[in-house]
Amino acid sequence: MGSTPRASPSLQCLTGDTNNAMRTYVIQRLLLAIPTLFGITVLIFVAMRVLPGDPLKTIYFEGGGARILSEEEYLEARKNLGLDRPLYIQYADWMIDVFRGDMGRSFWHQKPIRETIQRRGTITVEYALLAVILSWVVGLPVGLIAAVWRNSWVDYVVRFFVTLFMAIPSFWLGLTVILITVLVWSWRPPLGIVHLWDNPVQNMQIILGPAIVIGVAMGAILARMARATLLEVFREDYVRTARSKGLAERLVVVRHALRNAILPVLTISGLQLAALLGGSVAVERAFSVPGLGFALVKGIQERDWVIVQNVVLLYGVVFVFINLAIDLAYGFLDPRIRYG
Amino acid sequence: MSMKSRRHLPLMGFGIFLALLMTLVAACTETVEVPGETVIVEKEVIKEVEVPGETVIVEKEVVKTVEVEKVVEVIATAVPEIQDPGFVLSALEANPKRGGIFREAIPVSLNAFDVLQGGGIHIIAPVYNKLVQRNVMDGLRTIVPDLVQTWETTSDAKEFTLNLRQMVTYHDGSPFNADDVIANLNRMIDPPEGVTSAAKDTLVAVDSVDKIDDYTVKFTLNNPTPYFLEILVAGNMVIYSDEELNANNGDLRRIEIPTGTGPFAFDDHAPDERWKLRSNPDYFVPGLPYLDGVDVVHAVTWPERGTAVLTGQADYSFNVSRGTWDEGQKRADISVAETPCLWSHNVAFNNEKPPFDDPRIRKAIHLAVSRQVQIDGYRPVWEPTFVTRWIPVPSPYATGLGQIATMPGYRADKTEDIAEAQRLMAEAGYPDGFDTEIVTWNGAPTAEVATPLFVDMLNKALGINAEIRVIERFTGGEILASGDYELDRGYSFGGSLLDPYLMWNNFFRTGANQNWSRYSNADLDAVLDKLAGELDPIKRQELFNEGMDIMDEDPPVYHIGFCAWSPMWYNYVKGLNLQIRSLGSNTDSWETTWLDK
Repeated sequence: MGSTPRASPSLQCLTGDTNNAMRTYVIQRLLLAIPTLFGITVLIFVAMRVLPGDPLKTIYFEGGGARILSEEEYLEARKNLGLDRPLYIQYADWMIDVFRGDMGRSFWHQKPIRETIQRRGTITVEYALLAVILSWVVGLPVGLIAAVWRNSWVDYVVRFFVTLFMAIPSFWLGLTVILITVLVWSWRPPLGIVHLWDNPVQNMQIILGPAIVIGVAMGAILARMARATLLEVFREDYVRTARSKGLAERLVVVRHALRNAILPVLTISGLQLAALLGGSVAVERAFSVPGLGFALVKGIQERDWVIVQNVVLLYGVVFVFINLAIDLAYGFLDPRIRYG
Repeated sequence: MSMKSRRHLPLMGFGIFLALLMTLVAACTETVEVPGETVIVEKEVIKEVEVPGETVIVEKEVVKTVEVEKVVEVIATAVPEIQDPGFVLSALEANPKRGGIFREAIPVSLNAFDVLQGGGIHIIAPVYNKLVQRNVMDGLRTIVPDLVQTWETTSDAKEFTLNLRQMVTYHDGSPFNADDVIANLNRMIDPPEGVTSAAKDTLVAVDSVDKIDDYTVKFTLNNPTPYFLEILVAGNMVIYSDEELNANNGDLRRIEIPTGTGPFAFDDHAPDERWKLRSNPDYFVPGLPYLDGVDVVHAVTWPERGTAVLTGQADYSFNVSRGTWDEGQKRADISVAETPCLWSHNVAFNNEKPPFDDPRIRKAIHLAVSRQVQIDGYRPVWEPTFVTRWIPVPSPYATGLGQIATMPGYRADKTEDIAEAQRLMAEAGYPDGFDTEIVTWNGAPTAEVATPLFVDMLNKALGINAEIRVIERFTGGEILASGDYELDRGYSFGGSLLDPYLMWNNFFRTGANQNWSRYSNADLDAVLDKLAGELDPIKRQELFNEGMDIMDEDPPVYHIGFCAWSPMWYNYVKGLNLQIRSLGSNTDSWETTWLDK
């Protein structure tokens, strides 16, 4: 397939051959993404339609009660919404909407899906990126410290907190934070969405909570991963060589060991980011952040097929591209790795 | 290192936080007194219009002496009506301030924009008017005009002539007249193909709606319907524009959002996030509304709604969680109330599946399972509930809560009831109980608290082992409709009327369209037949009592009671009379609301 990493002794990164090989690799990956995404569309389209429970069957009233439709009423309601058409026609309609970049409209509230994704996805991307940044800012130094002073009291304290933060569910932490701020300071983050460009302060109030609780949990994982890989790298010959030729310990750690230990950390972090862009539903619920993850769950609960189909497809695209980005980043971070 | 230590400070405080959390949960379990005063006030008002309340026996003789013609003057209805041509809605307080944005915290998800087809009337009620409405000035105790100016009725309560307001316009500038009323009512009664009418069941008595002139319509009913005006106050009885209905084949589900005549017009909305309404400068009630607009913020869960109010992000919410309600009660700047609502908590029996087809089994469960224990158990995570019989608390026909508390099955002391229930079980051939299954929604209050509590008591009192089958809420309707259940905790009966006839007729009559427990009792059907044509309030009360006795003996469902809502608001919110409300409401129009700040 030509995607096997190839070692190169040279530090030369961007020669013409390498560029061509890289381009071929990217095109191959993108072509491979097509059947993957097609599979996702078929899977989600069918899954939503075979799930038991049809929201058209019952009209629920806020505050209590429900009216269950008779079979005749139910069939008429389906017909009126075009749901009695053959499935392949409904699927084709959706694909046409996707290729137009339109994505259709919500089955229920009629808002364009594109608008929902733009509005709510922005907030999700914000806290996801912030959480990843925070996880690096916290996790990497902590992992480094624990590795450098391994088996010291510093290492024990770090390992204790790392294990603790990995064990504590982020949504519980979020709920606790909200409970405290409400009870102690009569404050909670603003409900709804305020974009960064509308009101930066309020925007930060909304995204900081989720970013911190998720970032701390992710940071704990990164710290553990960084410590383990650093300890492994410290035992490598080239590190020993660097030390034996009298290089300062700081340079040995940062320039030689950390650079090589960072690859698995990067992989984990990329996958975490991809998962987060899908939205951390539990944390979004805890902080009442109307992000994309919550929109998806609500879409599933309400059987809003249009929104579920499009958001899942978006996640598929995001995963494909983030994985590709991670692979490409390897080439830049580790000179030994090239694609051809 | 010091920065890192600071970062970890919250962690060290978790123990304290946990203690706070436990304190809050403990606070939630406090017993809240049943608001008996509210019920008493309701009875007093009823007496003013010569509809007997609790003192039926005392007044019975007096009313019997009233001549038939007298009845024409005061049509018997569950809710008194105020028909003063000069009636003008306004805030009760003197010199209400103008301006400001009223912020409400409620769930703002809505499945459609058409309130007849499940649209969220709790969000968009201020955009519309109905023909008549409950009077916000007296705490929703009477019925007063809305788009109607006055009305006339015949002595047999089979014809209602409504005189409509003139000079009313929709937000799009089109005029309101009788054609709009005819188009809407016809759509409700006989919806066009593909349209579902949530109001159809309550309008079965309407034979025809005729236009007399541009501002007069006449309803002809096939049965005497003394509570007819009360039907028209239901949330989904809003009047859309005839023009808009015609342009969309009567289906407004996908119209964002249909025009209305209400005190506030639609401004903007973001799904699952917020709604913005702005005041209607051409509103037909002079001087109203006082507010510049209404912002509705999305708060799905009850704790979210409560914290939105506690933290000043909302001025009001109609139903908050118990924990936040308790916090609000402690605050000097916040008020709370507990208002009865018209839907109920139950466990449905599938009356067609053995052994629940045996009335003795159903009555045994009715007797043995403690309602008080269940309500106390789920109230911290769900909603308060009154121990009631088969009629909601605010109805003038309801049995008093004090009397209910002494009745078999309903009383707190279960000693005698369980003994009698065990005797019935033995008589039915199940002295040691049996195995069954109970369906429950996946929501935590239902699936993790209320249903396990019920199952536990069922087992301890009667030896019945019920396996819990958790389902997603959206499948609940289908399961009830298909009959694929033995016991179902997701079932609820209720309505929008204080006169319970239609509710019983829809849910408990043999073969009725919402009779999902598949109940059939010839005696109750006979009572319903009599109620359909009965105008005399005394006789109606007697028939309702008879119906309740029948259902106590042969319960269609295990009925826990009718619910209550827990509104919370800042003291500066005026014009709603929330403290004196006899009935919970989530469809306020905010036209008399003003902010004293």
